Amino acid sequence: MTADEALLRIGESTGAAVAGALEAYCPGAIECAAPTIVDADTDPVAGVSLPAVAADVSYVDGVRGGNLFLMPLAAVRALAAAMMGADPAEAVAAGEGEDELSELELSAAGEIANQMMAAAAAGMSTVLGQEVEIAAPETRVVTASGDALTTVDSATAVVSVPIDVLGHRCRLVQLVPHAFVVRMTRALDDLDAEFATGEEEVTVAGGTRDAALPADLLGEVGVRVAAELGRVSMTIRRAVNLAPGAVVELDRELEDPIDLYVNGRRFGTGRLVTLDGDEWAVRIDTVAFETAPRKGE
Amino acid sequence: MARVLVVDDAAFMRKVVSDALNGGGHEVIGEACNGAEAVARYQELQPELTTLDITMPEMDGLAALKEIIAIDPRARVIMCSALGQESKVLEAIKAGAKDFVVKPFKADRVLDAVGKAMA
Repeated sequence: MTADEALLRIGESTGAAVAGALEAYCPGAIECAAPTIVDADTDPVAGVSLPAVAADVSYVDGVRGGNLFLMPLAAVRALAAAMMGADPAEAVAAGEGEDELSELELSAAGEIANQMMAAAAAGMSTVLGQEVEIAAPETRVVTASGDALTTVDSATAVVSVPIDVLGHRCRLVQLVPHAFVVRMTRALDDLDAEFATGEEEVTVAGGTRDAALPADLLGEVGVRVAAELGRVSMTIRRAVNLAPGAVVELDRELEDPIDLYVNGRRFGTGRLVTLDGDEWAVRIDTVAFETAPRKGE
Repeated sequence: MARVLVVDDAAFMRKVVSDALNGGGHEVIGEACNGAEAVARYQELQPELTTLDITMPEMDGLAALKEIIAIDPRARVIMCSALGQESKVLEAIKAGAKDFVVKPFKADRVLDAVGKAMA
């Protein structure tokens, strides 16, 4: 993966996390466009109506870098109303022609920036395998695009992600130090490799990996065998909000076979049975790294 | 009904949490906007329950929680934090917090947590 590809992946995942946090307040009213890497001659905040609120959120632990979320005043009014369960359109109409925000609206802008970047930091923590923490947000009103960003040094890349909030064009600008890009590139390469070997047949010289195993030499090596009943995809937000008593539907029917894994790699399918009426066991249906059909794959 | 101290650096969130608590019949007896102020207000007001944000300037919610628990081991504290701070939340629960509520939340979730902490 090149550094530019890693930068765009960072932009995409951060944009998605930001949009997810906004969606919680404005369902169906958030549009996140593709990220672009901004060169030194381009204004990274072009296209955002000014004056606008700039919310700065820096990383304080795990990685270095910063994020700027720029929201025109109308977007802040609409968002603050949505966050309080009021009508966004009415709030925008009431603020028409006003150049200032209320203290509560400005505070709402800082709070949503905190929630957005906390979600993005959670995603980065997962990729890097290390806790990434953010500082409390700092908000200010900018009236000229040159005031939005402080000078960016040559060792920092700038990624810009346009995000429409309730029809108002906002912009996420990420300041990514090159050292961070290098770490993310490695981490994303590792992640891609893990996904590739986790689900696909890996070809090695002379045949597939399973056929090439010198079983007589490795026969005494312990392996971890796991049986998987089913899977489900959900947002991190929903996952952390699961409470005792919640029911999570899996992707399998009662009569579907379950998957069997050896050290994380699927090697067959089977059926759940009970032994002596009080112990779970699995009766093997298929073996030898056959690819069992799975819904959603 | 509980007498509650609401701690968050964002005035907006203090209002949202206070509105939710007031709507549920609780009384918000004070607010604080950082950890240091939270500890001072806790000693001054002796609330029955405290809601505590985590990411705050000066002293964060975790440090404030530890100080509050040191002052009053029976303090009822509910952490309110944004997504992505779960590891800190787990640390908070170990340090004595009664529950955590992930932002954004609905009023019912706050009231449930308060109800359980007061039970």
